[in-house]
Amino acid sequence: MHILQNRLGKIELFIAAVVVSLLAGCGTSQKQAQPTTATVAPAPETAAAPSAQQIRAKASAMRAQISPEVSTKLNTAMVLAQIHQTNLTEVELAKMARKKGSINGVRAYADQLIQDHTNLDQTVVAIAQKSGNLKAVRRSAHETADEKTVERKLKSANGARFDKLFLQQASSDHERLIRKLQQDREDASNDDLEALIDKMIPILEQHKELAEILMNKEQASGQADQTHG
Amino acid sequence: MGEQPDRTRVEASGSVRRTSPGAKFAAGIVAGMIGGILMIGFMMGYAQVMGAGMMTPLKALGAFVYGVEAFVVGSDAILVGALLQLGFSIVLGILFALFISRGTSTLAALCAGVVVGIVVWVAMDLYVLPYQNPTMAARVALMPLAYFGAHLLYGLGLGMTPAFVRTFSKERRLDKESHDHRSAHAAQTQSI
Repeated sequence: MHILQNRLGKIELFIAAVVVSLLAGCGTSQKQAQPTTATVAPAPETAAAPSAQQIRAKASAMRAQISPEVSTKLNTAMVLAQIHQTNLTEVELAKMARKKGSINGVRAYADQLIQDHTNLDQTVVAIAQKSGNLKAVRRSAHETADEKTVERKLKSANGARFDKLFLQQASSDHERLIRKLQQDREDASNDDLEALIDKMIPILEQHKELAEILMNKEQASGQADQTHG
Repeated sequence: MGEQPDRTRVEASGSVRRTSPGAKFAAGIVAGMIGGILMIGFMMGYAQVMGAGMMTPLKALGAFVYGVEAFVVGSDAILVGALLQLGFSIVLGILFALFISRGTSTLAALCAGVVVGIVVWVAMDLYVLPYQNPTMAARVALMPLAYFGAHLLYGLGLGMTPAFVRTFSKERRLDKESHDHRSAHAAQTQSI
């Protein structure tokens, strides 16, 4: 009986060893496959200008040279810089809406945006300071061309048209930011950053919901005015 | 509750000193109100310092009624938030005072108050806010420590209950004594 059990044990051990070696083989073959694609000899027609594939391969090779710690820090700094810039932009647009908004709801919404994004930005700055990224975050945060265009467009609008444009912009900005943060949350490897994103998303969802509620109200009041008129 | 030895002391008249329900009720209202004001005052101050806006905690409370729109409806939501805060604080203060007597030591009441504050904090954080007021839950997540500290302050407010019970009982006793004195004096005058 004991002999039989020993034999069965040996067979199990053998099967396990085979499975492990096969899996290890797969892993190494995958790992080895990457350098071959990266070091593929350039085709004659692509020798002059590097193809997208070559650029990607070069970028991944460069990333491979950077240690994981540095890569994590860079990624954290990049995400924090984006959030910081978004907060600054939202505060700027909301300040404009506080002055130019034609109804109380829009002005109250603008006030809330200023308060929430200021509060969130303080947390962003604190995390950047803690992770030693403060300088990088402040340096890399700058207004994009799109944001400048939006600002110009809003500056030129007035009254109900301004309200509509501002609310549409706030809604689409927040929707985009939520999607971006959800993606960043999956890629993030910094606990503080993950916690920040977890706290930010519900607030941003509220901002988006409020913008939509106000847009609907404006639309309804506009329709009512038309009916009465 | 920790009782001081004078609780069951028999007075010269032979009657046992008892805390009247009215005194407990009044003490509960005052202590609950003080605790509630301490709590919301602290949250408002903290929110202001953090740049979140002084009225945000009240608006977040107003979201129990208005939902997310509490942030844009203006002073109505703020008023509702303040009423909810004070109302709940007072009700809890009265319930707390039911277990307090004149002889309850201040330290024991403070400890019990802090425990009640922590229990309320746990209940709000885990059960009430996520389901009844997610708008407020999202705001609280931004200032979790301050929210906890505010509940401890509420507990400290409740801890003042025995002092108020003693104050109101004393006033009542003084009133009763002066009434008795007046009655005796009237009887004496009549007999003369």
